[in-house]
Amino acid sequence: MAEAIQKKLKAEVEKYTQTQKDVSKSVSARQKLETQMAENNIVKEELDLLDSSNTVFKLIGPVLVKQDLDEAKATVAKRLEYINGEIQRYETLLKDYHKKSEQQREVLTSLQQDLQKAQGLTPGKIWLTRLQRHKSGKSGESH
Amino acid sequence: MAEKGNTNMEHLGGVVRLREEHQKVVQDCESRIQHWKKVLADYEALDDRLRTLPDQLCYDIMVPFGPLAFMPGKLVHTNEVTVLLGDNWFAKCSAKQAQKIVKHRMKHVGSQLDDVTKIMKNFEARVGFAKDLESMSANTGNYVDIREEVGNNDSPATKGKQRIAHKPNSKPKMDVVFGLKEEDEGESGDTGSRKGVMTEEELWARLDELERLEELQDEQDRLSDNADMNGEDTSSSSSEEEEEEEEEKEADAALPVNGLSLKPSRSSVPHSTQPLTGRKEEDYEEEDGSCLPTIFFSHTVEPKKVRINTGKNTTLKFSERKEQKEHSKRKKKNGHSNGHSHHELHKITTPADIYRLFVDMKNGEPIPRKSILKSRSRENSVCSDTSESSAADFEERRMIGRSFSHDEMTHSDTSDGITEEDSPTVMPLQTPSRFEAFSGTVVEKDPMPTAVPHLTIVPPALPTILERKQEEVAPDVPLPEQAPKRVSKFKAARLQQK
Repeated sequence: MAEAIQKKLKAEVEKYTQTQKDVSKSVSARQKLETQMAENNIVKEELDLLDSSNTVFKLIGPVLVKQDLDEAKATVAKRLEYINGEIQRYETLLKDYHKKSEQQREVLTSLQQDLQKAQGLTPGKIWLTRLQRHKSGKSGESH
Repeated sequence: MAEKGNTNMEHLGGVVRLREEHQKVVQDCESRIQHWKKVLADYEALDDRLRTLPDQLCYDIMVPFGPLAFMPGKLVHTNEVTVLLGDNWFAKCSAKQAQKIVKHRMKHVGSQLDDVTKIMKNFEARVGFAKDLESMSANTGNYVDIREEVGNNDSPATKGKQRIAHKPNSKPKMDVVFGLKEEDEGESGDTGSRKGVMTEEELWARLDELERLEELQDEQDRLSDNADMNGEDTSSSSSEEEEEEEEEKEADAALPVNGLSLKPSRSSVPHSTQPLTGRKEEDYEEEDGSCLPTIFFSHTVEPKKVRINTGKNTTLKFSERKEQKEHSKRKKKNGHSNGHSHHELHKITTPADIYRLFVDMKNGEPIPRKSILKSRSRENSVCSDTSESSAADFEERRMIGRSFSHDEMTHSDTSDGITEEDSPTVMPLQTPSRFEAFSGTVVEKDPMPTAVPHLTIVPPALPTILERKQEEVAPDVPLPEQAPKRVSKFKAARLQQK
């Protein structure tokens, strides 16, 4: 019985570690998005400072491509929205992973307790059966 | 103690780690601050360059070719600057526009720097606090934990209403005793039966004497007053009573034992007895290394007395020293006449006496209370003993008691002492010499200065049942002399009516 519990415990531990990895991944992704958001904000503000006399370029690979100022502004705005959406998504994901990990933690603790009980019981059980046998033997003799 | 030490060590470890973590954060903040400062400096330099660049149309410079070579060249179009806006976006601007952008960026960097400095300050404060906590749990520094236990110890000892600790010369006890009788007798009160009053008068006279003795001894005690003793003693009352049945010496030992059981921890209040002080010191040494020095307060200010539970809501106060003194006194006076056995009847020297004195009065007959004393002491006492052997004795005693009370009725106080000489002297002959289990005295503390307060109090019937005790026959000589001086108003009323 204790072995079964141990197997269960191992499986649960693996699940838990997986969930923890997911959590950390989503956290790091969210951090990246945060920096991008900050950068794009600065770009937007600086584009606002410029006027149409300045030509705006976009670096695509090794090439600097000319862009219209308004287009550039629109593009940057869109990118910013996209980034915000991504952040929201990752936040919900993070919450889910967190809940999952909590549940799994509880399961783990309960399993651990069961294991302890089982382990604690097994030597006692043997004694108990022996005692019972002894008693029954005695009573049998007296009768 | 060891467990406490262990938890302290854990706390210490935890606090150390906390402090370390905080310090890490602080260091991280410091590095970030450095970074931002550098960036800011760069931008300032850039700003300067942008300012001076358009001054000339072209500059002769050494153009770097790769990492190791330079070539002479010219810098042209000094006003045209291609600015990286971020995220692979570029913009061609004039120098001034570039400056604007640079200024804008510098603003942004400055705000970042402010945030990081704030965080660093926050964590520096936390580090300081963690350091303090660490020093506290490590017992370094001057931190002392002062704890005061909420006194639930008193509740088992003082069943029923809570009593205020009066000053020694105030009048608390009579009320309590008075209350007891009232409860028992069912409102006999001021207009109780004459018979009951008569019997009480004797008792009250006796109690007055005791009280005066107590006052004298009180003053002596107050010289070496120990406030804490009473606090320890109060909750050990019942056990104390039983122990005192054995021997006086045991009572001495019982007291510190009880004190130990009550207050295993250290106390800053000084103790009088040797074993207690030893225990206290021991505790002190024990606890020193493991946990914070702790001072335990207790707010008992009463003088060194013990409250002994004598049944419903009353307690007698017991003082060891008084007990010893009275005992020695009594032994000295043992050789004197038996003439004042009357007062002896009211004198409480053993717990058995308590049961003799404090007896319920129902239907004019004294019904003793159930005794908690051991059977040995019940042989000669008049407690409600269920054993058959003592039933006959009890009957006998009750008869004698009644005859005695009858005698009291017809005589005044002064003559009582004389007449009662006869009846009690009969008693001692009948009784075998009893082994004095409790050789000390239990003195009912009644610290009242004059006789006046006594007279105003009307005790409900407190009849006494004679007890066969010839060891205590020797009376105190002054006592009967004092008795006639006091006349309660009921007695006076009765005399008048006569």
